[in-house]
Amino acid sequence: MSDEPARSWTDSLSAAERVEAVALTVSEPRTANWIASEAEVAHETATKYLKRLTDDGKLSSEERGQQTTYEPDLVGQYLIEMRELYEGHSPDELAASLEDMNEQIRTWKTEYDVETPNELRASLVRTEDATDERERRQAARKWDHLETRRRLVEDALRLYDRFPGERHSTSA
Amino acid sequence: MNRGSENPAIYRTLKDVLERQAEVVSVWFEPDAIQKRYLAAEIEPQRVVPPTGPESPQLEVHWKLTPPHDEFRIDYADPNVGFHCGWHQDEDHTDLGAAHFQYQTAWMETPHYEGVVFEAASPPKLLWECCGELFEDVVPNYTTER
Repeated sequence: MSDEPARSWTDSLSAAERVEAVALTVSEPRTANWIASEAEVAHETATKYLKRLTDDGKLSSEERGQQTTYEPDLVGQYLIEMRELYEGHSPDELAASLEDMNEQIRTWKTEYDVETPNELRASLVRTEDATDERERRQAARKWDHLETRRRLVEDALRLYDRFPGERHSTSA
Repeated sequence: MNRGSENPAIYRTLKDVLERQAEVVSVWFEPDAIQKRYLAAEIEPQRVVPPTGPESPQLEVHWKLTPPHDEFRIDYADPNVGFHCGWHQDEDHTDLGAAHFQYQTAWMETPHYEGVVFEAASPPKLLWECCGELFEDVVPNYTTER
């Protein structure tokens, strides 16, 4: 069976990679024990990598009684994303995508006659059609996502005003 | 993390998980890397068991971190044989539990749905678990039988 490709979680990612992947995607603060178990590493190994990720600003930690919990550092994640948008895309690409997102949001506002994703969710109680309900729920979720992305892109575009001529890499 | 704020690390991490699958040729963001609405991956038709083609099957991953239970959809479609399947954790089919697996072959008139429970709790490990099941069990078993 030695010619079988590596399929297991533990064979395909290193201990450090597994700890980082798990720790960066938790949706609520988690202990080192929880992260160690999910990453399938020893507690000491998890603690070592979690401290490094915290020092690097990718995670934030909090003391809760006897326990320390970890979660993604929002500022750290924001800065990583900002750098990726700024270095990976031209201002024209960012502006075009921003316009796409605005257009999509305008379409939802008109189609459902609401101003925000939460108003769209509130409209779910008034519909009895299951397909319509599903579409409204999905649209509200996509709308939330686009609102977040839109703010990031607006911030990335401001970097060009702040640092004119500073951008080093360009996308193909 | 504040409820409602989005963590951009989620799709970056899941993209890495997909890129490590032996059957995956490339992974990209849809509709682009700026909007990042979901992930799509091209599958090499000759690397799946049984081999398929000539078109490339595709995997799509939608994920939203919503404590305590994330919402996600992992979907696979092979246009050559008219097969598609997916693991969904959303507000559909809640009678089957928090998450369900669904599939439809070319000879089925409607999709089949069943409840599913995952061993993994974190998004990257859960996606890993689904990819393993997809390529080792689901595709070999459901695209050959009739």
